[in-house]
Amino acid sequence: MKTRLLWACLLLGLPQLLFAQEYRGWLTTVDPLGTEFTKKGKLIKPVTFSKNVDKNRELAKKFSETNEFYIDRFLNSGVVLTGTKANRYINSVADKLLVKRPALRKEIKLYIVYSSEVNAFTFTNGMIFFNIGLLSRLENESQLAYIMAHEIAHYLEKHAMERYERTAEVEEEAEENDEDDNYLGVILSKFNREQEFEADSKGLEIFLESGYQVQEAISVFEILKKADLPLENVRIPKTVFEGKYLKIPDVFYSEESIDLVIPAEESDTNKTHPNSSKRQEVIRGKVKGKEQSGSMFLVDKSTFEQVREACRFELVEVYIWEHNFINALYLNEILLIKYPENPRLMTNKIKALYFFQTDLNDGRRGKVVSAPKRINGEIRKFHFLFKKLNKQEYNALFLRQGWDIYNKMQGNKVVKMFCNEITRNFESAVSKDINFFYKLDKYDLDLINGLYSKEDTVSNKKKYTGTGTVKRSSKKRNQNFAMYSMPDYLTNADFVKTFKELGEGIADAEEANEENEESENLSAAAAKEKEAKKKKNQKPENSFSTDKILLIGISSLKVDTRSETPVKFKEIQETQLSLAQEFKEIASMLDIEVEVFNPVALKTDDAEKYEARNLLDRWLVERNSYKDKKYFLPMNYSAIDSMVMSYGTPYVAYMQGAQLIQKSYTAIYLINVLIYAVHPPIFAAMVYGLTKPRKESMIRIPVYNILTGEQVYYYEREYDSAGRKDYVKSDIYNFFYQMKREVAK
Amino acid sequence: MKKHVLFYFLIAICTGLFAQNNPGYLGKKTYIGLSAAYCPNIAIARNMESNINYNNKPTNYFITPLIYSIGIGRAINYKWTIGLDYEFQRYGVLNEEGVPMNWKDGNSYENTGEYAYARAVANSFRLKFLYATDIAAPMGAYSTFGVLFQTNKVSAVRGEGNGYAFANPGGVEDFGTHADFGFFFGGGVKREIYKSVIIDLGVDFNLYLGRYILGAPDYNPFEITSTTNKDYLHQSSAQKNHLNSLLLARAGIGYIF
Repeated sequence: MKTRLLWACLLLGLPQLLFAQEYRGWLTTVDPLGTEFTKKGKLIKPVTFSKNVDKNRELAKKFSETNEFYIDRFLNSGVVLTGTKANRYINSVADKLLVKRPALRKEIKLYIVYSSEVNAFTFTNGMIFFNIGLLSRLENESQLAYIMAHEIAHYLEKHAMERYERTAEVEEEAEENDEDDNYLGVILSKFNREQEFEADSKGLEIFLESGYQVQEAISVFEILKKADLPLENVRIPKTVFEGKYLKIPDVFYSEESIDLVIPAEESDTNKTHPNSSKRQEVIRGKVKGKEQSGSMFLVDKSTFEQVREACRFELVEVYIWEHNFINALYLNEILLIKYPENPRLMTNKIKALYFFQTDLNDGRRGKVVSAPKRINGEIRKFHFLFKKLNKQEYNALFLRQGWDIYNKMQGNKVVKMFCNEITRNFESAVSKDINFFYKLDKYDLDLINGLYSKEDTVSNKKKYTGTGTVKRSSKKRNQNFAMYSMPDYLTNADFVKTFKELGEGIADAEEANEENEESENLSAAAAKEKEAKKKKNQKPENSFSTDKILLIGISSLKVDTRSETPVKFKEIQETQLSLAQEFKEIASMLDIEVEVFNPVALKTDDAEKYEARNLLDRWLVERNSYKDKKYFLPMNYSAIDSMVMSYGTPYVAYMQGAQLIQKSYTAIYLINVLIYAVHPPIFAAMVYGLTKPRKESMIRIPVYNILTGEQVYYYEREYDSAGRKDYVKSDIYNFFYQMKREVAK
Repeated sequence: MKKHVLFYFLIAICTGLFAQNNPGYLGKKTYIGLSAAYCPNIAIARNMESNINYNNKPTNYFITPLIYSIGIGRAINYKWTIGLDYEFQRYGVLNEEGVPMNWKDGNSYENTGEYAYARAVANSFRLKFLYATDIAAPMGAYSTFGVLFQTNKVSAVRGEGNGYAFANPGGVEDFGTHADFGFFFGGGVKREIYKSVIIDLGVDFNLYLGRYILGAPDYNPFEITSTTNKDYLHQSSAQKNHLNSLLLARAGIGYIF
């Protein structure tokens, strides 16, 4: 009986243990949404500025409008995490920090931001945001509490308002004195630095009231000093990029250790934040003698560590999303040392490899690989490796790694999809012929190493300080390790089948493209044959129809240059809301169901919808970064896939609208008036034209299939008018009508 | 009648064929409307009367005859609408013979001669094509062109007298019907004012070709009855009508579905 119970406990506990090891649950919204998401137009309380009443009334109005708009936009941008278990923990820390200031605690709202930047920031209404990049690096709860106290001080001192007021003043001064932008920058950055010192000092007062360990208010600046460096300096062996038959020659990956050196801080004259060292010294001076008082953790050490670990797991994905693939791979390898063969990390690795390969093959090399000599620590080896490998070599590396990961995680649908895409990328960039790979009886490492040597000319040494460079053997210049990388897979039926099938697909597609160019000269028979081939090449149709679509967002910009406040923030928000309703109503006329995600006010229990919207918004950012690609595999494929199943459609639309109103071109009208002065009716029309402003507007609605990234329909119209509701309504109807027809085709 | 039925049938087939890829305005592709048009050019409008007082000199010279119409249209694709209008108008023409002076007893003269007040009743059909320049057809601003066919039934009262004194009016005589045709172009705007109710405002330029068949009014000062004969009445009626309809401002109300 006891054994049975033990087995039952193990079986029940194992999935939870595995799930816990992936740290997925910590950053998922589980709590009800706050009023900031459910009610529009109430984010900012009325504000007043200190000086000149008349002028500042106007300034306060502008400030409220712009802040209301931008805060709302940020909350709905897809990067803000709220109501997660990690948020709960941060809120508990705030409770402890502000235990003596309950009224203030009620005003503070805390969020996590999907960003790798080591930063936290506050809005004028008491909203404080912690980036995942920062939470991944903090060493203890006291450090988190100090940063929170610093941000609360910004809120209490109304620094955002001060900055706004000062900016307006400086802009006015600059205009009067005909100063350039540099003048503005210098004045305002000095002002910002003063505010930072003030927030440090006021924040320290709050922090000292709480009972957190004082020393950590000093040590947290060490983390800020290393903000641009990798999270940890861990030596990663080159074997992480190797396979059974793929060995990275030593010239590409140095065995020597590279220490992490904190660079000397540069002058902060033009920066918004003072140097961390200066700030650290000020704090050190203020707490002298009290360093060891207080507790490191007031809530829970274990929870802190779990939250941090969850953020680190998430950070890998954030890095991939931000196209920072080297950092993603490096952090992933660090985590894999601690969690070997962890499914989430293994999946992240293949994702990072796929997106990295896509960027490199598309020529976005500069964005993903920095100059190695500028990189500090062990991560420099990663940069050096991918900088030195040529197209065949890095594609072979990705292919080998992809298939090795897939073989380790057999049955994982997502891994298989990414593996296939890596194979497709390889074939598009290197070779569709499987005979590209040599069949080997025995792997000869000396042969591989013999293909390369270290370049030691003076100029190259200078060019690649500290890393050396690679010289390819002149006799075998057209050979490289890519050809020797997959011999064992040549007998793997799955690999051979996939490679051949994908290769044929690419060849057919290329042929079809060429034929398209010559299609005008085709005979009827050839055209039929081409059509048949085209059908064969077509991707299998999915079973979804456009009877339901998701609307990710409605952007409706309105700019009236005649006015002193050209951007009409309030009107933009109102238009967004009314458009969301109109989309729904008009779609129903065509029996289409629309699920509007943004910017409609959510309900308290819409946590799941909020999560889905965040996912879609981030998907859109990702899609836009691969604009030139017809198809695109989303990073969060499995989440997107389950969302598609849950909402019953893979089609998402995003509406971009803009209205521009300008003064009329009086000069042109005057000429016309002179010309037509002899003709009374046209003269009258011209005089009327003089009083009319020039209006332009446009509407664009792309529709994507979120599973494939394919843009299935694109609607665009431009008008010589602005704010016409009947135009917009008609456009929305036409969009749905045409989309339904086009997608059905 | 049979011809008309066939004509409508052909239009219905054409619109059906083209209408397959046609969103209309919020799915509404057909409109019916009533409108009235008038000639805003007063210089042309004077001398025309819709109601003639046969016993006294007409005093309401400035009354402008309105053209009433009922129309139906259907969007055939995203931009184009095909429409058919029926129009009705009445207009009058005062014709006086042109012998200016008949000396009377050596000291004074009287300006007497024959006169004829012609009254025409015109029925027209317009086949028109409208190109939507902003919103989808059939709504919004549009440019239009088309052809029109018109029948003018002319009747007149003839008598002797002059422009100031009218004597011996006879009975109303029927002078038969003449056909006219032409083409037109113009522009306008249809806007939704409440739900599916629309207003339609526009301007048309009408160019009739009838004068090339009927000929211009041929006035011969040496022939005393030249202004009252049948041909002259038809010709002068047509001429007045052409001038009257050259530029028309139109306003109407309709329903879109």
